[in-house]
Amino acid sequence: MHNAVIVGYARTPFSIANKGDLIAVRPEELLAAVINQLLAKTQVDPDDIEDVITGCAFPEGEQGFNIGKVVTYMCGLPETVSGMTVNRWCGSSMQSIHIAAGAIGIGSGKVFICSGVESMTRIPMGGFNPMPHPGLLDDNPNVYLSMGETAENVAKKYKLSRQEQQEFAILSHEKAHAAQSEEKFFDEITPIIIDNKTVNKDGGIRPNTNQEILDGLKLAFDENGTVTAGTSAPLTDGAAATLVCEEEYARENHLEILARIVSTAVHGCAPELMGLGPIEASYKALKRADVSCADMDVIELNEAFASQSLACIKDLGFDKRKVNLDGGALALGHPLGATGARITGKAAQLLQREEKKYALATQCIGLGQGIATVLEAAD
Amino acid sequence: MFKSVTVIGAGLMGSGIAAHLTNAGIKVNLLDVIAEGNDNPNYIADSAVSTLTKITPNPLTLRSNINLIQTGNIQNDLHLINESEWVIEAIIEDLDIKKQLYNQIETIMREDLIVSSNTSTIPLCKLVEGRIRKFKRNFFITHFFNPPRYLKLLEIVSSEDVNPDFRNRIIDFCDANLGKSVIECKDTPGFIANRIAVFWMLNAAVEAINSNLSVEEADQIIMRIFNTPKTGVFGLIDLVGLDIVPPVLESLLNVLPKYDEYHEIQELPEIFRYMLDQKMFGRKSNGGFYKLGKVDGKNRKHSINLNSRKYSVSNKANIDTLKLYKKDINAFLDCNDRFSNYAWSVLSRTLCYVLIHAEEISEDIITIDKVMRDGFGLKQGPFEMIDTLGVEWFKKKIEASNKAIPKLLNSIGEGTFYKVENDQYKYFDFHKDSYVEVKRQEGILLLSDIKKTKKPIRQISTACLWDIGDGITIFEVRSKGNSLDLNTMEFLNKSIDLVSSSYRAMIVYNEGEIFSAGANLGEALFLGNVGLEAEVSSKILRKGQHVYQKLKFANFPVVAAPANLALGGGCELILHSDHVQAHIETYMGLTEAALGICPAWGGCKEMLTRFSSDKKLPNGPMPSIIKAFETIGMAKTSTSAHEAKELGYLTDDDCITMNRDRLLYDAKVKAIELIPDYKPPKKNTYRLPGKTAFAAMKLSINSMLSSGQISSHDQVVGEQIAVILSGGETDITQEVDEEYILKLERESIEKLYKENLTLERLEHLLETGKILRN
Repeated sequence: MHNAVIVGYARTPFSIANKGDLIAVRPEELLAAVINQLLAKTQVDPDDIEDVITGCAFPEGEQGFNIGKVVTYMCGLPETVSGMTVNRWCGSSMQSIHIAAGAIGIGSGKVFICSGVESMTRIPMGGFNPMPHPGLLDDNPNVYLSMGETAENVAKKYKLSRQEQQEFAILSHEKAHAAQSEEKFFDEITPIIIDNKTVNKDGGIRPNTNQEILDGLKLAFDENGTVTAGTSAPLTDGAAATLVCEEEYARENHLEILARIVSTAVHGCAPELMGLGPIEASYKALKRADVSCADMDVIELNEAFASQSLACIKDLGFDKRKVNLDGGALALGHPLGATGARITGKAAQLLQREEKKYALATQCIGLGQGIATVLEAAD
Repeated sequence: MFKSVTVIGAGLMGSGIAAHLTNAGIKVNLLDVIAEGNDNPNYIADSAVSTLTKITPNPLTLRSNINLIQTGNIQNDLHLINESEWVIEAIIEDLDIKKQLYNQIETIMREDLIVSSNTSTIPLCKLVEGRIRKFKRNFFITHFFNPPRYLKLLEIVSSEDVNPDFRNRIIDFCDANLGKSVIECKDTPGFIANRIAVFWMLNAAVEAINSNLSVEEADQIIMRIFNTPKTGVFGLIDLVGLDIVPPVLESLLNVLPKYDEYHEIQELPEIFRYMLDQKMFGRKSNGGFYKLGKVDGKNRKHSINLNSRKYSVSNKANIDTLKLYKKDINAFLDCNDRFSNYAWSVLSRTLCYVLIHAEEISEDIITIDKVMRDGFGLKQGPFEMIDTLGVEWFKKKIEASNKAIPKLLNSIGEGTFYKVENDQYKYFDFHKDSYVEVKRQEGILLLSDIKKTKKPIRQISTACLWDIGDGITIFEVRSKGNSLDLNTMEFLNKSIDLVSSSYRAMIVYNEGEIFSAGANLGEALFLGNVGLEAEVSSKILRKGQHVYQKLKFANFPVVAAPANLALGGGCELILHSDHVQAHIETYMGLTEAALGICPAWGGCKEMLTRFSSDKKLPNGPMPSIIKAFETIGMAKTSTSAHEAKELGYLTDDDCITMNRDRLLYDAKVKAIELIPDYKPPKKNTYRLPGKTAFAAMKLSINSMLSSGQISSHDQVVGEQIAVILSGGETDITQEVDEEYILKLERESIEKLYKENLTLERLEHLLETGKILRN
């Protein structure tokens, strides 16, 4: 078996859907921009690329036509490079990394671009043609429950107060703002130029948010609940990409190894508590890597909602100080298909920056799933 | 047609005029002075623009119109006037300040730049005093009324110096593009509107205070006697702003001769002074004679006590004699209680003032009547009111009050100011001392004029069919609220047959206050209450569906020409027409869901049809269904014809008329255009996903319910609408026709009609006129 390593990571600025700076940019262009940046950064030989694997939660409209292959032409990659689109909803682009790692492991390729994209402005959540199975909806309505309602369920199960959730959101914004101010995103953000205007900053960070402001927001999903737009990741436009290769190839070609992929896992759970998906997925991945939660130095936990993040932190026993060092999705945003590549690439980058050994990237997935990846700093 | 206009002065009027110009698609530069102590030099204009999106009633026909406004400041950006074809000055009513601005404009203005002032009080002769020839030639007074989008009147004053081409351009543009009722006035103080209205308003207010009436009592009497909109007198002062009363009055008193009755108005009442000191100006401040206040956390209307000056919750006035003589205004005025005495005092003084000064301020009586109707929303102008009251009765009552009868009133002898003679509608021309035919401008066609000289082809109490020449007919509804009952449907049914055999086109049109409130719910509710629910389906539903389908597929073109509200069944009537010529102030909506029912005269079917062919929507079976579901389920009603296009009630091919008086003419032109080679539309077929589409909509309904956006009965109603739009039991592989969707409409409404909560909603609407959320 061959080891898979992450040798590069790039993303666009993340921008609030329907009103942010990226609303007019097609998703293929966002994706092409980060892939081009990744190629420029790593100087990998395009002829060596086996496949462009692109995660996307709603691969239709502008995100359809197998965007993974479409973008190879936009980036000027050789025709010999393949492309595919993978859909595991919010876990789509982390899954793209898992697919690459598996392929590398059995020798089915050495170099993969593992990416993800979502323009939630241009392709709505749920897609243009939502057509749930009517029989299944009757038999098990939880399958199609809105994500917000699952967040409320988690909040109730874990008795998480609105203030507690808001405190978590405020902290996410503070960390993201600090990182932005200290230019810690400089190495990952690919500027997008629109009509001579350069967009190079995340648009959702609110450094001045506080309990009073968040108290003023309406309950978004349950009139008797605790979850608001302020404690939910906003609808977001953005793209992210990582370059994943066989470890030997990286060394031979003098590519900077950010992290080695040690183990991966996915795990199903109750759809009405989909936010708890990371718990069992993480345990599974940690076990496969023969490490424990306590061994993790860096944790990237996707903040789909404050409630599910707090529940996962509690059950997995995470040290909060190690979680989302530069803020999470509550502040940065969550372009569904792009998030997995962002948090896995970020975790790899943080292992280098913080000079640590182990990292875990994990996220919840609608319909009741979790996904996790354990990374290790390369020697 | 102008492409760009500059408005100088971003106050209430200036920004309102700017907004209305954008409603006509005009690019506007809005300039004001630089705000002291602010980093943004355009702060004043920018603030005014941002306020435009928050004002009620909405000054914009579409929120996005605001993008047509470019802000600036006079100091740096005055040169922008030359990028426009017309500059409107709407700054403070101060002659010296206006002159300073004109100095600047005069220096840089293009040869053909039209300049006008929105002054309401300063005579044109003073504004152009000392100006160069170019300025005088290009200068007018264009006096808009607040709010500029809604009040039709526009007074124009010009001098002998003006270029007639410029005058024609302004008049044509304001008439056709801004929808204004343009009145050319003499350069007399207050022109026509303010000269009469300020006199009327002050008399009504002062007399109310002297008669010890409450603001509600005075307003109710004024509303009834003068047939005004719901403001009365104190409500009207709140609307225009008490702060403008003293300067307007002062300016009038300064220029009017001593014998003018204005000088009889004594000092402003003490309460006016108090309220001015306290800056209680009305709607523009934190309240005036009325204001909103919280009671148990809810906003309630409060009114001021004219004696104690304290506010309390406003209650409707209870005037027994006004109720007793509801339909006989003369009897009320004769009943001699303090309320009728107040009414007579205000009415007689106002009408006599108009009679005395008519020749001084206007060329004819028609203009004065029009000004008062279009500028203040009165149903009748002063001369029309006298005709309605009865000239003899009016004369005798004046004599009984020991007052002199104005000369003009004597001029008509025992006649009236208006009459029909030899099939001609005529008015009394005081210059000629004889009757002259009322002639409308080209492009203006009014059913009310036709009615004065013609008989309908056929009629029932609730509807008429008119022949307006060229083979064109008008189907007119004239019931209460122009609602549609079974008899009206049958009348339309027979009218279709008649037009089909003997005429060439039909225009669906009326000049009621609203186009149509929809189906006669009282009739449906009555049948339900007497245990005849089945009749609702077999008669009302099937009849409505049958007649609307027949209208749609008739062998002649049908043009609907709505104005104001067109709800429910009234909206469905429009949806079944070949073409719509809508007035800009058309408020359309399939509002059935709010009443616990669903559109069932083909409304769901037609919305599905138009959205499924909407190329702006994404591909696939669901976008058109979702769009129809959002529109019908949320009972969306347009706030303008422009918005009706955005909501899909009007198509891209439907046309909009800005001037209400031109609506019927435009509709007739369209009907004539459609007649040659007219072929009825083909019947539509649909491929609908059935249960899976229902499931998608159900998810959306469930989310809205759990987040508290809708009630559990809204959920029930929403699901029935979802059944119709999904296609019920069909599958995407099957083709269904219009009859299939109509059947689903009937089945759904029958189910809803059996729901107690639906019946509660219907009863509540009929009793209170308001929507019940249950």
